[in-house]
Amino acid sequence: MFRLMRSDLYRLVHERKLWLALVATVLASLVQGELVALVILVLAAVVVGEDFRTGFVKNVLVTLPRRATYVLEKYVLVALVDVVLLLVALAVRLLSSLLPGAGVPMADAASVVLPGLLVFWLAILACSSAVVTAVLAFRSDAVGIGISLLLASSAVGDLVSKALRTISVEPPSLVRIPNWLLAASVGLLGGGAGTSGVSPAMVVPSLLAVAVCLALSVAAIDHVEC
Amino acid sequence: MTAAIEARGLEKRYGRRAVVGSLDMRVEQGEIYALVGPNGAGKTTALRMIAGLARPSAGQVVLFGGTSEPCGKLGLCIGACGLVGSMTVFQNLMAKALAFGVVGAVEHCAGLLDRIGLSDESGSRACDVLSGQRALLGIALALVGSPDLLLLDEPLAGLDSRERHLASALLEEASQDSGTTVVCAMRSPGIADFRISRYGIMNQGRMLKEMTSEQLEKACIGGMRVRTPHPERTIVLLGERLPEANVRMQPDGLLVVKDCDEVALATLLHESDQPVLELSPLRSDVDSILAGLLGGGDVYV
Repeated sequence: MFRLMRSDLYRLVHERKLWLALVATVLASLVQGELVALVILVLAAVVVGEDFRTGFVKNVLVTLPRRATYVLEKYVLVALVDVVLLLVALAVRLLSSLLPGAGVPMADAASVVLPGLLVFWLAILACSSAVVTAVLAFRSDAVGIGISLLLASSAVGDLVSKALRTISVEPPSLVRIPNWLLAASVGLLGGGAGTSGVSPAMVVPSLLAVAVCLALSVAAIDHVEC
Repeated sequence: MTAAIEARGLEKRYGRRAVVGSLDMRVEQGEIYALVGPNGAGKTTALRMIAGLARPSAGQVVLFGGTSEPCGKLGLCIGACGLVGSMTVFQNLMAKALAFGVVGAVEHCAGLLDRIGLSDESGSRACDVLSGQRALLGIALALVGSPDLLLLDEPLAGLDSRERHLASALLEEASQDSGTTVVCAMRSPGIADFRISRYGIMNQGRMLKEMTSEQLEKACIGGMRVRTPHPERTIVLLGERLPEANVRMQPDGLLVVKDCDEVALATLLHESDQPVLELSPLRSDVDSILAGLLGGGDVYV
């Protein structure tokens, strides 16, 4: 598993997708914090899906006595990437509070953001797990990106409604669209990269979701033919 | 010695359609084995089942007697070989070397690149190199970690003669120096510059015949070409002295002699009082012979 992890980290560092995701995270943190969740989920989908798109997974699976090892490694990798991007988002948020005119002292920003960070990481990890499961089951990062959009759609929906308001077009049916989206109903990603709306009550459901997704992923990879 | 691959009653079905049906196959360690057949013969599916990438509907595959872990044993290039276009040629090899835990990965990958003649391209992105070079890189990727068993699907497809020679040298070297067992699925083994130990001829999911390279070589000689100034006299002579021979005269006077011993024919012509303008084996190429076994006709050249 550690060999695989070394290989995956090597590929992440030498490819563009991690760096693009970091840039996207910084921009998302400045523009709309909730979009950070979308960036994280899409990156998880692309990281895992690339193995299937390029056929690298074939090289790996034939070397492993048990395919579950592959799944476990991907989960650890995704958890690690989630942490990195969340920390970047957090750093940007804290730094932006120092900007003149931000009106929020850094100490206050830190006291708001830091306590909920672990909970939010778990929530993101649960969603990333769902994305990874979808990618493994369908062997497609496109499906994973679709699931990412669905899970982070409260953020997307929020952005859409803001855009609608900006251009002063407010047809009643359109502005209600975000409320119909999955994420809005589960309330999981409502807080985006910030931690408002994230409560400790989410810890157990998040852990449970990760465990269920892990089990489903192992079952999926056992049936994958490539 | 334990067989590298022992497949017994291997079957693969998708619904009612059998892609591979009851395939028995044994490949000894160190052999270069060519699975030959047209598109849809089931070669690639057979390779995927051997690699463990596809689950057989029936039957089983045992690799190296089933005594060892698969780690480090298998190198493969079946379909997409795992090349990441946005990474450099060298980085692609390194990524796999790290996944395989290769000791001295940097030197190992540099050596592989040198052997396939891509050292100059090591810093180029994989998506920017020529398609033939990418195919070579796929073979090099399969060779990362010096595997004991190499499974390749159409390894020489799309390569020009120079690249084909490089790839062939690489495979032959792996087989001879490291004892790597190589199994290639090929439509046209005639283009291979490397020594193939045995051929398994497949069609419609079944193994029609297995031949050693010697048997195939023998099958390639389809008779003798004889040219003399007086072909009619030669036909009479052959009819008298070699009655079992099947002699056919072509419009230009060339005699095609089949079903007779080459040495006896040469001796007879030598002892006859007429000059011999031509005496040569009538050969067909490997692909034509295999096409004949698959149901087409032999083409002698």
